[in-house]
Amino acid sequence: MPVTRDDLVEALAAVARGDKAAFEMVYRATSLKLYGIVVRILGQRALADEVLQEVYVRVWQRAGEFDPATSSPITWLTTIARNRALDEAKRKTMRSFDDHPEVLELPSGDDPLENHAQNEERRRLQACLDTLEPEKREMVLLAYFFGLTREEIASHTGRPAATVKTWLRRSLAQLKSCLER
Amino acid sequence: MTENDDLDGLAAEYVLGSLSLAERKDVDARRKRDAALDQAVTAWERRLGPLSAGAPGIEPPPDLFASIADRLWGAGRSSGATVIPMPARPRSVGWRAYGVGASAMAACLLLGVAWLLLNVNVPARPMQFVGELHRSAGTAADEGAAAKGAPAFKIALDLNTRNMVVEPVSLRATPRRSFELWLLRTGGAAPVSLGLVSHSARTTVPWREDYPTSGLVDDSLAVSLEPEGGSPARAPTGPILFVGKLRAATP
Repeated sequence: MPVTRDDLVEALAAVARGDKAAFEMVYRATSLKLYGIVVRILGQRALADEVLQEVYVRVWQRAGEFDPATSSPITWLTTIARNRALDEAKRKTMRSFDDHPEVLELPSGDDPLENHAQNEERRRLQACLDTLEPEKREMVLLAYFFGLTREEIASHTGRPAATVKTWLRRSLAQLKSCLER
Repeated sequence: MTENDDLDGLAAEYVLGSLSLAERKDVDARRKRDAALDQAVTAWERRLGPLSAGAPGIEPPPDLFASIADRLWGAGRSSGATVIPMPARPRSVGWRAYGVGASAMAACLLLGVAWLLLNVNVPARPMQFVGELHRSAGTAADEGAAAKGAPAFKIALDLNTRNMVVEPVSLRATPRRSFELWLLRTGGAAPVSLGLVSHSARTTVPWREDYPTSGLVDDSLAVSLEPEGGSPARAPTGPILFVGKLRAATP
């Protein structure tokens, strides 16, 4: 039986009490996902290995801060992983993406780590992303999945950094209002 | 109003990942004393979180959990009880989930085999193919050297010599990333990795015995952007940059 969102909520509460078996369960259930996130942002497996270790050390230390009333467990874990990976990636001098990646096609199937409502949320987010113009949608996803800064996106797309900033902010505002609709 | 927009835009970009390290540090510090900014960041984490949930995972190295346990609790000084044994105990639910993945993979392989069996006796199979890969759709602002409509890669496959030659056409480097070539089979079979291809020089891909030799004109070829060394999974994990199809070469 796959691990569900409720299992994770319970396990994180146990981790907060120092339960090592629960911690391992959290790791087994989520490391595939978090490692994917970290590898994409860092682009290097050796560095990703190190960062993933730090991420789970933080999970162990901060499990008590997780509040199921305000966040889903996978969103909470994702946030820790992304923030750690983004900080690390941006320590590097500017990375250049001379090619023009097309956006990731996201799988549309249900994620067992999320409940029905959250899978619905994801489909809505995807639908809202699809309303963005292709170039703007691509900029948004380049930043989200690969952690590219405005300057990196600028050198990648040939648009000025100021334009990238304007477009990103407009696109994000558009996403927000689409999601609130 | 403008001020609020700026605050929300900053929070959004922070979560999106497009801020520089200095800007990120600034937001980290400001959040601690600015409740509105903190709430805006949390709201954006909720909004964009589903994107990560939907993205493909990558299997971490098998010994990574042991390293984490080691960091947290120290392997050496324990009586054995503090060290989580590796591999995991049977009751670990995660491994059961992996079991599901493995059987899904096996099913994909079986499908592939069945497909091959069905297609073995196609008469007068073409033996030579050519094709071009173009940037996948939706890319604008292409200031690159390649003229509009020009291919990014030219491909020639000869099943007699069992070699595929992949020739890049004016591509530029993508540091710390690799280009990986895939054969995307029709009918939903698992993608076949044809290995890494160079952006600057001709790559010869040996057409292995286990690669398909029929139905190729119905399949698609794709180049994805992967972590250095190629996809850590059995499918593309990065964006598909270039796509194209093979056609039988006129003799």
